[in-house]
Amino acid sequence: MPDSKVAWNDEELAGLADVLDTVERHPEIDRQPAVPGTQGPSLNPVLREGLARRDLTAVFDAVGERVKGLLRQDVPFYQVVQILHDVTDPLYKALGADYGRDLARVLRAIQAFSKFKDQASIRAGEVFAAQRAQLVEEEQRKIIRELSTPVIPVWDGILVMPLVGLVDSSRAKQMMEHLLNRISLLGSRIVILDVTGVPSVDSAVADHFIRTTRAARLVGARSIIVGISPQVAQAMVRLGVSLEGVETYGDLHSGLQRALSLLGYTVTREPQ
Amino acid sequence: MNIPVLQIERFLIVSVQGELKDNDVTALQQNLLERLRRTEAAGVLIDLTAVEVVDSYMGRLLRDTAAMIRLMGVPTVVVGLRPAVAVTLVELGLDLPGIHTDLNLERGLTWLRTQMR
Repeated sequence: MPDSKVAWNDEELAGLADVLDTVERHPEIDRQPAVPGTQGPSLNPVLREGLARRDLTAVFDAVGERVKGLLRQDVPFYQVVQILHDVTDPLYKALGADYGRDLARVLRAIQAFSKFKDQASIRAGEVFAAQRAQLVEEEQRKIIRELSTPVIPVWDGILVMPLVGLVDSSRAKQMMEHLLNRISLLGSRIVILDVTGVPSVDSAVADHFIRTTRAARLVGARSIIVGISPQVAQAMVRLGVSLEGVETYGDLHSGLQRALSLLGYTVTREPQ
Repeated sequence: MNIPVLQIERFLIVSVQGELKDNDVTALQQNLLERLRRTEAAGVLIDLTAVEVVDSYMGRLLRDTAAMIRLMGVPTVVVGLRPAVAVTLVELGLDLPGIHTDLNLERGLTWLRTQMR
């Protein structure tokens, strides 16, 4: 977790209080640069409260939330940080105007703001990194999901769905939805489920094969299952799963031949 | 809501639009079966393209209606089931066994014609 417990001593807190006073006295400082639609409610009250309680945790949490919101609106990270840095120049000018006679006080305020800016930037960086990591992970998961359930239109009206590896319930569900959408989009008449790459099935997965074939039928496609391995065949019979009403073939080759002939295609080879 | 029963060639076509109330459905069943007898139709096509959600009640009703039509000796085809609707029906165990289903109106009609021979 971000280290928001960085200690702030009395000097720094007093400096920050002066900064806040100045910001509130000069509304032009707080005017955020033109990133449309990103201006949230002012964080000044949160800062005021934090100063009163001598604990800035909530302040940096609020900064983090604000950054999260901005990133979610697709504001680039450099612009997010820029918002904070844009305040610096007008603030220093205003501090000079307010406390110019008391250089020690100006310096104290500048040091406090500098520390504040550093910590806010660090928090922004942490939020950015976390969000980026999450994004990458989601993206990867999506790609893996799609890769693991390809649906291939091999011929007019014929889809092949090769299944590779272990099928769990969530993947099976995903697979069924994906397949049904493709059938309905392409108007496919025959679906070949190729389970050559499935090493084993349990009753939930076997049940899912059946559901998939039933749902496919409802949207107008007939299913053929190919490539059931000896292990899977044994498991299915032991589990009492019957694929009644579903044609099965040993390999993709025979399944495809059957599908072609069901659709009235004949494949001939021209004599060389 | 009154669901119209249309006739094309010798086929009766029912296009269900949106949500059905209990009364609508019984009225539809009645209407459809009467029409079947009167018109000596050769097939019934039920189009569900416009139906986005089904519940168990509607699923059972669909199954029963199709079974009734079949008892009267007429082939039935249900077309236009959306993927989500198909998944729901299968999950409810109401996947219309013994009833022909097809992708869309055109394919459903083609199938009905093959049944006439």
